[in-house]
Amino acid sequence: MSTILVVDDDASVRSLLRDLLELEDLTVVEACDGPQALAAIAAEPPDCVVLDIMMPGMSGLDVLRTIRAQQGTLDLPVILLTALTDDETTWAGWTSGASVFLPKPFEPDHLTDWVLRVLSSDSAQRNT
Amino acid sequence: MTAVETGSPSTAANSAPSLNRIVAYTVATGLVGVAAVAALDNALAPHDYWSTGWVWFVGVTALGILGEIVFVPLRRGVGWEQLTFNGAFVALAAMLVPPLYAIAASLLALIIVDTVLRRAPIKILFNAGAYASAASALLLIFLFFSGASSLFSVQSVAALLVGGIAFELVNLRILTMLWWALGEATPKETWATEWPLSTASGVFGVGLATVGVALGQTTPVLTPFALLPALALWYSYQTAARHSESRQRSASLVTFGQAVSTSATADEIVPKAAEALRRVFGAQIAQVRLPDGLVVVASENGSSAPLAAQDWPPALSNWGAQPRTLSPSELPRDWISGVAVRLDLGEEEPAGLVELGGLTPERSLGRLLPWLPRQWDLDEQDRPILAALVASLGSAIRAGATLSALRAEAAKLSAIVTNASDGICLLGPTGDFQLWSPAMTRITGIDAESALQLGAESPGLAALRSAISSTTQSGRIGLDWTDDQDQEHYLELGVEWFTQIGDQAPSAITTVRDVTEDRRAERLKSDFIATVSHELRTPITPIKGYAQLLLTKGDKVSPEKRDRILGQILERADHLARLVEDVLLASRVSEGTADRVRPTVAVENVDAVEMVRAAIAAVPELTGRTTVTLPTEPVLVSADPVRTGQCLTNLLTNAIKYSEQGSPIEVALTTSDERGALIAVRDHGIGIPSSEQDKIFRRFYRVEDPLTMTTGGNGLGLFIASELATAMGGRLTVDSTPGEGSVFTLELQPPTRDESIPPATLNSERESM
Repeated sequence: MSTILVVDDDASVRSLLRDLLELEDLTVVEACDGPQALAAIAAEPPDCVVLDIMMPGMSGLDVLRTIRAQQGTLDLPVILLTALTDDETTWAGWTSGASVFLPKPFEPDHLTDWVLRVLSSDSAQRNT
Repeated sequence: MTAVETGSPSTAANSAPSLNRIVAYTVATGLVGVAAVAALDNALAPHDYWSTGWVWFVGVTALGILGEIVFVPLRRGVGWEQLTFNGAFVALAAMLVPPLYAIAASLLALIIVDTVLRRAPIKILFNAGAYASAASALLLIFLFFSGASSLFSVQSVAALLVGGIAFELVNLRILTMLWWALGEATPKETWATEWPLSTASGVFGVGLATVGVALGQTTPVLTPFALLPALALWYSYQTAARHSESRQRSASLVTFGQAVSTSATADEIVPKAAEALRRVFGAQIAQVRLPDGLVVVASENGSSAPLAAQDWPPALSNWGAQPRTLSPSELPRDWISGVAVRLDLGEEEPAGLVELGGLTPERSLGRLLPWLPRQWDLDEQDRPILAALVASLGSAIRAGATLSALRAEAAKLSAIVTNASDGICLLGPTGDFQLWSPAMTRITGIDAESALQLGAESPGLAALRSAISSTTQSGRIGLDWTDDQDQEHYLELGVEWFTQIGDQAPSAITTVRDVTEDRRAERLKSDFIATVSHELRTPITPIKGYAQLLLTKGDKVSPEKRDRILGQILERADHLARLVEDVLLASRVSEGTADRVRPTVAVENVDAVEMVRAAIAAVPELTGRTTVTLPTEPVLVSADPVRTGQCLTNLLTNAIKYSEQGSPIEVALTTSDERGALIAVRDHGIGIPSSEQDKIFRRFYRVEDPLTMTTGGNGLGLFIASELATAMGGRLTVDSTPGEGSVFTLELQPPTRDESIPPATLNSERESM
């Protein structure tokens, strides 16, 4: 079973993501801010990270850059979620190394599709 | 010579005796003289007088009159002296008639002439006194020293000569005193210049008298040739008069030069110049007409009133640059002669006119004998001089006008620069500041003296200079600028490059405006928009997400989970609804005082205690850390319960947000007779700096922690809370110490009707939650 790390400061969003992903038989780990997320990754690397950008303190982009900077998590698939739709954020998101960039509010189907796709390609990559 | 006519006297010398005293002294000596003559009349040896009859008396008096009115006027400062043949006459009378007759006749002649000429009584008195003194001196000397010898013995003639000279010298002595009193000259000066003429006058006068009498007695047909001495005397007088005129003219030219060389306005130059011109040419009256209609008049008696309209000359274009004699039809009223010349005030200006003239003689005697009172006319040689002087007056007036205009312009510009609310500064071609307005000092905190000084300067000034210098062309730039007290500002500079006259390199004139507050407000607003759009989208995510989930995968979901999910959707929708309300309220309610839009509130009499309890119950995070102090009895206030609840909730959530987990929070309700109810919420959190305390109630404002944005929120809470409080007739205030915590106090109005319950005291009940 694959583990997904869900990072968002809003509890109801985390709860929604949990409900969605658990229906797909995925294990969900929650983190409510950047430091918590990085700690969780360090403790037990997940198979995918769903990451909100706008968080107090360390932003999602900072978390992403840290993840990409670390040797072990270079290829960790990260799906960025955000309500910020300005060009600057989008550009920053892509250049920071996001695998997928989804705006909020999102279609739950799209999210689950992307997660599953990312997991399958990743496992396909690992297997090859 | 005798008889004095004065104009307005100049200031008397300090040590000089007063005019009245001189007159008294003169009259006294006159009386003494006459008394002496009367007393010694019979004692002195009588001559064989020609006549003692009244016909002769009248004849002698007539001669006396003639002697009095035939004179040469000599200018002395402001006054005139009349050089007469009185001396000759008295000598003549002394030979022809008895002494008392002589004195009586001469005084009578004098009084007649002076009265007809309407001279002032005090002048007549003075003249009479002087005349009497001088005449009695002559008579006494003559009679005393001639003895009983015949009229034409050497002794007699010598005595007469000495007497004649004595006559003139006594007169001169009196005159020196008079001039001294009038401040014209000291006695010494006058004596020094005048004794030759006096002596000559005496000698020639006696010569005239003796030769006349002698010829009359022996060869009557040759009597007219006795007038030869008179002619000599006349020419001496004329010479003396001309010398005096010449001196006067020099002095007046100097005065004129001074008048036109001062850099002053036309108002100041023209009166002085007109008076000086009048004196230079000896005119009785001088007039300057200016294009704006002003007429400045200088006359012998001081300035006089402007002319009546009918006395204006025909079109000024007729007047040339050379002086032109006025024809009788062109003469102003009361003028008998005149010369006019054009006053040129510049090419574009209309011209003015300068007129010099003589006035109608005062008295009928003058009209009978028109050649006697002084006629005024301009010599041929004087015309070019007048033209030159008027030309210089014209240029002086032009210069004065230009100067006034320049001064007015400069004053206007100076006022603009000084009073402009934006700072104005001028950076010169060499990189130093040439202008630094008061507003610049207010905005930058750098005073003008430091800014304009060359050399060492503060970092703030250097930063400004380099910012201005670095602009390549004129335009507006924004500048982040730190002043010399390390305060940050955002300045808007408007830079215009131009080259001043005479410079090689350009200068920059720069306006400076401090827009720090404006930029901060803009930033807050755009931050708010960014934040609020995120916050509105966030709750929508789970609403849509869960709804879609139930639609697509509803069959996979257990009933309990479905209920939970629906609960979540509802809760998020409520949250979103509240958020939307807040945003709408904030955008509807405008800031500022002029035409504020206030939120609508439904005010009623409610129990404040209940409202506080309800608000606390709605915020679960308060449990375990909050001390609540409430009166036991209900406290009625005039308020909107829902809105008050919203305020209190905001205060309570702020208390939680801005303090550490678990740090205590106190809520207390107190009452006062005048102020209704006070609800205080105290936290022990990060506090609010005093410079921010009035700003926290503004729209979009959040206390920023520059390192971490650990506050969240959208900056609307306190703004809305304070607006609601004010709308209910109360207010929201804060008291805070950074690092120790804050107390927010909501003041509510007492109930509208007199249903108030007596206020309860504070210590009635303490509840701990």
